[in-house]
Amino acid sequence: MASVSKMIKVEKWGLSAVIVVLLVTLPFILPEYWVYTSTDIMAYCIFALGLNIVLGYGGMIAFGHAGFYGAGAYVLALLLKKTNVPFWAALLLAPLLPTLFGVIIGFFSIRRRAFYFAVITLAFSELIWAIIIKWYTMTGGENGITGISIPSIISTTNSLYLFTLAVTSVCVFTIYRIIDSPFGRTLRAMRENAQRMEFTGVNLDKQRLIAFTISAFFASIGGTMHAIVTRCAFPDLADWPKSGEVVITCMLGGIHTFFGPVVGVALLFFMNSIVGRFTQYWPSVLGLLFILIVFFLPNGVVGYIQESKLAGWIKRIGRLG
Amino acid sequence: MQLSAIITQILAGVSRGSVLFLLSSGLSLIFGVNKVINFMHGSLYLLAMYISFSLATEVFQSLQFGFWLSLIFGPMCIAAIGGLTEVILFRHLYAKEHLMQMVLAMALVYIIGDVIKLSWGVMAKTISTPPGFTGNVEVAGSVVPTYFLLVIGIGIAVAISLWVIVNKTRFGRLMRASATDPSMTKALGVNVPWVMTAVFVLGSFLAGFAGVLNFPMSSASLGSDMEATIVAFIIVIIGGTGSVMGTFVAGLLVGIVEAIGIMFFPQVTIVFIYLLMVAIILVRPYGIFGRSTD
Amino acid sequence: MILELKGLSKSFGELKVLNRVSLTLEPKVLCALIGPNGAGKSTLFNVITGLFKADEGRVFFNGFEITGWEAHAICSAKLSRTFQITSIFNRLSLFDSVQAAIISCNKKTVNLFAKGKKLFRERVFQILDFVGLADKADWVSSALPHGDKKRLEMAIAMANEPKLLLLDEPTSGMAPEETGEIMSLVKRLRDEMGLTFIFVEHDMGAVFGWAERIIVFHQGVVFADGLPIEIRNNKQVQEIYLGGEV
Repeated sequence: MASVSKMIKVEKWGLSAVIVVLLVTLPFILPEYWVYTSTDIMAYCIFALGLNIVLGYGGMIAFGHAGFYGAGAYVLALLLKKTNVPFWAALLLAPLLPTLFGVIIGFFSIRRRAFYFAVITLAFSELIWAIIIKWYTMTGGENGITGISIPSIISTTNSLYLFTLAVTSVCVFTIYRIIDSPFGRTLRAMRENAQRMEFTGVNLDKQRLIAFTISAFFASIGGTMHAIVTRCAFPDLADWPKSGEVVITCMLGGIHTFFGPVVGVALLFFMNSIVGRFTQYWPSVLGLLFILIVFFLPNGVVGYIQESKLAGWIKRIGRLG
Repeated sequence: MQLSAIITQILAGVSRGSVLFLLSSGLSLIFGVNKVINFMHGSLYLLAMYISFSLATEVFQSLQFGFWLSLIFGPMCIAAIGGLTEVILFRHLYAKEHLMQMVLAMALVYIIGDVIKLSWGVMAKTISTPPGFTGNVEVAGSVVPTYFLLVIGIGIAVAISLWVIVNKTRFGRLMRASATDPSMTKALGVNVPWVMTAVFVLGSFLAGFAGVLNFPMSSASLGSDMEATIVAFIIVIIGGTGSVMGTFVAGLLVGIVEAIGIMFFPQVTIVFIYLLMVAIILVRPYGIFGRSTD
Repeated sequence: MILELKGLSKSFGELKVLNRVSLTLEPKVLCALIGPNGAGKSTLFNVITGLFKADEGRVFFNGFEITGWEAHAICSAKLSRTFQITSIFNRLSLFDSVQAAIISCNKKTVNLFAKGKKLFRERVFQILDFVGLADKADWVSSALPHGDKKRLEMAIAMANEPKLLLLDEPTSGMAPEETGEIMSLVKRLRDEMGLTFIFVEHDMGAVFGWAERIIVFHQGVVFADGLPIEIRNNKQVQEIYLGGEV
């Protein structure tokens, strides 16, 4: 028995090492366009993994996370364009305001029953979007903010990639630790049987609010990184279609797996790039994707693989579900 | 600001509130009975405007009866669309997690949005008030378009009818029973799936009806679908589910707040509505007329 | 006296479900609570464990008054229960399920930093071992056969190291063989860990085979109370069970 578990451990570390090496050398292998896209994918991954803290692990249906994503992008953009705050300070400060929004929105939306939670989070994120659109003098309204300047040390495609890789890695590691912690385990148990957990003394509202705030924090980091990668911020980052998009991204990969959202993001970007060449009606394609997943692949790609007997080894690595 | 202008604006708010009531009552029914968070409700509302535009300007050429015919046939189209989506799609998800139903509803919002864009383009559409109601009357010293009064009248009529249907008819009893305990109701011999479909059809009809009625006072443009859905949900939250009276009062409240907001603080009107919702959530978490059986 | 009920009453609208119920319970007794459906047994459990508040009356646990206490406080006081409809964590593994309950009872639910995988590992396995599920520790709970789910529920209920455990129909849906296994597990828990049990049961095999004291509940009152042999010969008890022999 011991040798088998040791084998699994070696397998796990071996695979992880291979992935790390692959990721780090990527910029030197792929053409520039793909490196740039990968960088944007990583930023979105932070967003999706952040959402999945409440969606997959908390069982809370949040349809308003784009509000935090967009706010994260805009606060960074505004700090850099309208104030003299240096870049590295702006980077650290930017996610704070959206996280505060997260606490406030969470406070109002969590105390109601689950149905209303989805609606209220959606409503508040639309409020954020409306403020962005209407406050023309501050945010540029529909024109967004462009031409954000970033330090030269990370301004080349490759260096930006590596920087984003570092940030994403830290975020992924942190989220993993949170999910694995007693807090995360409580959250999962609450998702399965809230009443039973309440019976053992858990304050459901408090736990959910903490989870929601952490989730908003990471979603806003995703937005901040996106703004850095693309050097701009547009209102659609906070609009409801983006909220729906990130939900379906997580579901596409599998909300009950840790890396599911990451797989979902990669697939989403891939599909978007293909569809974009043929039609401007990406929303409809996305909508059809939603429907297909709901009816045929509710556990997502990774979830489906996990359930099939062929993938015992993938199961052991991506187990947390 | 003249008093007469304020009164006109308030009546504009009341007639808008009437429309909002119609829209929200449909949503409330679907949410109460089918237990579906119907994100596409506002899309149906918007779609109804576009359909009635085409009906009134192309099918029923002359605007004499065009509007009235589209007021009947437009919502019927919407009701049919609602019924089809229920039977083909939603019905199969009732037993599954709520996430699935919500994602489905969201998917339809995306699709209907693109259908509208594809069929009618991106330019906003408007329609003039129907003949016979293009004039104004004097109410308390203010000039008020007669159409406002028509809308208010229709709203009251529908509110009363709806109250009667929900509380005094057999169908209403079936609706309430299916909402409270579907399996028990089914065990008693009621065709619950049919009731669910009927409620979805009725709710969609109301959304379409609200859209067409609202059209002459407003315009149809892309992007107002989710806006309408959210306002409708806010009204359901404020008024409480399961109460026709609650939805009516909440609709009027929001309509008036919106109207006053547009008059004095046009850029931040939307914030007032959210503040109203937040205040209600804090003071009466189940809505003004809601009960804790929520 | 591990449990003492004094004059508990509970009504739902017009219906008086509990009518001035009083009883006392010695520790380490295997006590069965039986009675026709609708007699009020589950309601009694709900009142004792804090899910419902009694309209009148008092509850004492180990000498302390727990009347009106919130459910989670009662759980902290080492009174635990299982539910009629199996209440487990479907998508979690057995290990994670029991661990989550222990985490909660130890008030570590807000701890964001500890590595969770090995937390309370020994205690989790100790409990799972006792209920005979240790070898299935990393199974997904929903994959368990029905009988094992009931064992798992008991395991979860043991997370707070209870002194008194209320079991709501622990052998429902089980064949006689499995019933025997569950009940012998209950007896072992009493023998080796000093737990006291009250179990609601409809399976008379389980009741008369294992109970050391039987309380018969009928229409919200304690109808009869005594040793199994006394209850077995009680004509009135036989009558309330549809006039048949028990």
